[in-house]
Amino acid sequence: MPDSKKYLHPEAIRRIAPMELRAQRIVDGFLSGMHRSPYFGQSVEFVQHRQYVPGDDLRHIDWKVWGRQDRLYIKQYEEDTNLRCTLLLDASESMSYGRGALTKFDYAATIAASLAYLALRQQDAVGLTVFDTKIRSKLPWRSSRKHLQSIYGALEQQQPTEKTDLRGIFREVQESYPRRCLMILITDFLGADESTLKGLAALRQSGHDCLVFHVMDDDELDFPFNDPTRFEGLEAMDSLACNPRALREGYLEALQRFLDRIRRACASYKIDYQLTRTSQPMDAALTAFLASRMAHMRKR
Amino acid sequence: MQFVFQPLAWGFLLVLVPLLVHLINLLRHRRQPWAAMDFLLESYRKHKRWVWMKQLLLLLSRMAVMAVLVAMLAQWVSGARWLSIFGQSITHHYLLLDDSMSMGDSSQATTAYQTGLRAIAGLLQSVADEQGSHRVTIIRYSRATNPNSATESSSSDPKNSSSIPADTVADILMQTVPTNPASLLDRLNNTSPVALDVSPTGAIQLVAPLIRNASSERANVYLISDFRDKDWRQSQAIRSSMEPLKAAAAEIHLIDCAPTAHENLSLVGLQADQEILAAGVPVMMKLEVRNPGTTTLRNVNVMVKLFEYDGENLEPLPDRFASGRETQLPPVVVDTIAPGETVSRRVQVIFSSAGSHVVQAVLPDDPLADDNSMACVLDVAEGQQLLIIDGDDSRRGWFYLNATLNPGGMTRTGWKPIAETPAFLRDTSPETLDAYAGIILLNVRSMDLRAIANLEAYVRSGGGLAIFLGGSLSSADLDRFNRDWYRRGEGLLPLTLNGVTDLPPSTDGAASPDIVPVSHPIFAPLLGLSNSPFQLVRVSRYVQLNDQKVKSSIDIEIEIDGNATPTWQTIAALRDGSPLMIDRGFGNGRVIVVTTALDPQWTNWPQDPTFVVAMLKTMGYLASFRSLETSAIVGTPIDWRFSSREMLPEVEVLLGRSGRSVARSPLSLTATMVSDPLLAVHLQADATSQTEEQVQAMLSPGVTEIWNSTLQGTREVKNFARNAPSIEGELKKISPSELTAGLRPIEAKYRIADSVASTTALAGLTNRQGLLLAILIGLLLLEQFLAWSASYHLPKATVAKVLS
Repeated sequence: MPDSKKYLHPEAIRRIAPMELRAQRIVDGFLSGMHRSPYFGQSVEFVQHRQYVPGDDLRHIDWKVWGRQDRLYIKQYEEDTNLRCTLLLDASESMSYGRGALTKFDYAATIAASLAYLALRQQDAVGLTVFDTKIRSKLPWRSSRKHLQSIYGALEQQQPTEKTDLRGIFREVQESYPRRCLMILITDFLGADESTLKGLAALRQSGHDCLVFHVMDDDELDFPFNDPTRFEGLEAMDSLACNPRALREGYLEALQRFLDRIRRACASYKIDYQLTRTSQPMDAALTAFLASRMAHMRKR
Repeated sequence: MQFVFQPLAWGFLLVLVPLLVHLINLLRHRRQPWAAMDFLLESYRKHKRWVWMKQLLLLLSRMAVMAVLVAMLAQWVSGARWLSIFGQSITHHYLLLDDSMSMGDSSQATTAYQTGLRAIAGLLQSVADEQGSHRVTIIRYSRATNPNSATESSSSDPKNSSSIPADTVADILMQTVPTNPASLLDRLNNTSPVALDVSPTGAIQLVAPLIRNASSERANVYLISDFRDKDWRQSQAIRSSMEPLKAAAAEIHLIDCAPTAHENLSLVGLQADQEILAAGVPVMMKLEVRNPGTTTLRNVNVMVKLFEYDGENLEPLPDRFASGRETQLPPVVVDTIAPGETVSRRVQVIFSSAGSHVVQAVLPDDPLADDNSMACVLDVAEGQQLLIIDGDDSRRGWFYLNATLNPGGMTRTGWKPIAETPAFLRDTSPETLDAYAGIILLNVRSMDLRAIANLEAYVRSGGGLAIFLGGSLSSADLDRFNRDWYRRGEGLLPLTLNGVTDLPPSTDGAASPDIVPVSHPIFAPLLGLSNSPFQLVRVSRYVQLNDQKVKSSIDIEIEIDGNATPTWQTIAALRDGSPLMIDRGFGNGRVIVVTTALDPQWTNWPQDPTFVVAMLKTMGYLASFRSLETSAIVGTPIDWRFSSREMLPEVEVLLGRSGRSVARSPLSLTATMVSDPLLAVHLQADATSQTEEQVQAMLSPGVTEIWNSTLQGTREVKNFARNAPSIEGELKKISPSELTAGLRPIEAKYRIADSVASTTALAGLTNRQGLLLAILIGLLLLEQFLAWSASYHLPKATVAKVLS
């Protein structure tokens, strides 16, 4: 595995504390393996030459320089902002669960940081909304590199402690973002019901493209507990002492019904849906983002 | 509940371990913050009841597994009656124990009978250890068979056994098998084989109605025997008796207590080989030794002992074989005796005084003890009285006979001739005549009808009568003879008399003797010589009989039954073929008719030495038909009668030595009055009125002494010898395959007693352990299923679906 790729894995990411470095390593590692540049700048204002690296679009090669110096350079332009991307990050207490390398919130924040970094690198405008029962932090769209620091700071300051109210959040986001954009929702959907999904549908119907990263921990998907355990609810006061093995099948069936319901809802509303395990590498999330971004750009 | 390793029963506390583990696990719940509580609670609400029930069942199954494990380790042995509530019927075990003489075979460390008892103990123990209700009935062959019938035939009469109530003869009757069955066998363990040849048919026929009447029970019939060839080779009677068992669906088990055959030597005969038993007269005893084994035996020493009951200091000696003064004769040596051969030897004994003496022959010790000894009782008198009725006033015939039978001086023949007139016979009674060992009529020309009737009664009851025809017989005398003595063939004379005839002198000198005997006990000592011993005997006159033809000896018909047609045989003929001596059977007795008179004008035979031999043998022959028994086989009742005018009715009886006891059993009785003045003592084995020891003693070989006192206070003893049936010495075995094949179509399972005693307990244990193992496996499977069910192993398809 190339060194640049290793930072796609949660185990490696966990050792990197600053969010800035995390996002940078992830995105660099992700991009290093691509044959075609993901940048789609439309500006004509030249900024500088840069030496060609594999993956760069051949259309941007400055053939004149090649003719003179026999070296491949590409021309870089000052690109315009061509995408508004809103990161909606669930910071409810349920997101604090995680027995692996990263908690769900860490994983979700890392995805958010990585997406922000990636988007800002291509001059997209990125906004951030961190919420639980209400919006805890909100950063407007910006496309400057300095905005990254704000995003990183906002992500690092959050501690998931409260319950979540997705429906209210969706309504509030819908009202606060009247212009169409790419909404990237990173959440575990726990506590979501039909009204929540309707809120998501309303968000979609208001013209936003939506990309959902459904972050779940391995424990929540596999329920690997064997010993007698007292489960204490993170967002509720409920607790249950039981033999987990006896309840595993029923739990998994209920979980499966929940996942199916969300998956079907997203599909019906044309929302890109990505179930993400906290043990999975980050590139899946970035790939899903790029695919959604391309679809969004084409529609524009 | 009982266990082989009782201390391990404390291990049942381990059943609490799963409960404790469960409780500890409840207390040791790990705390786990959890986000997806909704799904967990939904699952809990949905499966709460099932989960709880499965957890409970799982806990119970684990506790049961622990209990069964402990039961297996501690080796559970107690009978669990509670299993019977699941519909298991009562099993009735009928144990039929062969206690015939051959079961005393001690070729192994113990007797076959003891092996049988051990097998019974083992069977009962295994039965007690099994689940379900069990009953047991134990019957010995001898008890189920009338001992009297056993003396008559080895195969008992069904009527005899069916008439015996089972409750009076069964050692154990329909008793529930307790947890510790040893107590049941206390009485049976003190028993021993009896000297009888008894068949199992009696016992089988006794239990067949019990099985038929208890149709709700499952019947197992065990024949615990030694399965000798003599009993089971021709097993039709036994097979027939088993038919009702088969019809009742009873399982039949053959338990062999003596699986191997071995050598044995039997005494099969001991009897006086002489007709007259008198004090001072030598008696030839004939003893017979049989080798029923398979190898030739050499140098067999047979000990012969005499027990003389004379003198005034005789006392009952219970600790000895017989109370008489013991004299041991030099041993009789049998050089070789081949397999299956019976060897006879003769021993001369002599008793100096009158008395009920005992002769015992003893073989060296071998595995079967009861047939190594035989005894006989010789009731020796001072002399045997002979009544001689002489119709000749000259008393010439009396002279010759008295000189022959009682020569006097140092020569003792044992006979005491007493001369009487024909009128004596008329005035006497048959009982008086019974005192005489024989009656001789000499030259009697006529006799009162009452006298003839007395004579006929005497002969019919077993007496011996010799009639010497002769004298001056007129035609009227002949007519009386033909009318009163012949009585159309029903009288004492076998033929009518024609008249007195002279025998013409021989024309060829000594070449043709006047007397030509045939093979007959009377002439046995005089036959087989190179020359006829009758060369010098001349018969010149004789009484001619109607039938001049000499009957062949082949035509001899010896009929003892009083109702049988009288028969006769010419045992000596004259030179011309006319009968000289005729042997006629009459009732139980015999009549010897001599057609010539003891008169020199008729014959010179009385002056010839052969006359002495012939007369002694004739008297002995005639006396032998009313001789009292010298011995009988065991089980024959003892019936002794005596006069109350001579003896006191109180008697003391010393029975034979029974089983393993050292001393003989004493028994005090009072004789019962049969008819004044006749008293009778009757001894017969009877399990209903006698103790076990007395029955055992009466069914054991040996000498039974009946002691009583005369009115003058003198002690008298009367002995009776009872010997083992010789057939029981045949120890040849029948093979198991032949045994079971002979019983077909009746199915019987053959087993060896030792294996039964040692393996049934193990089999029971194995069965129990097998049952426990099966339960354990079942519980483990249930536990695994419950554990699997309670843990809800995630199906692979579900996992894949979730991950997708």
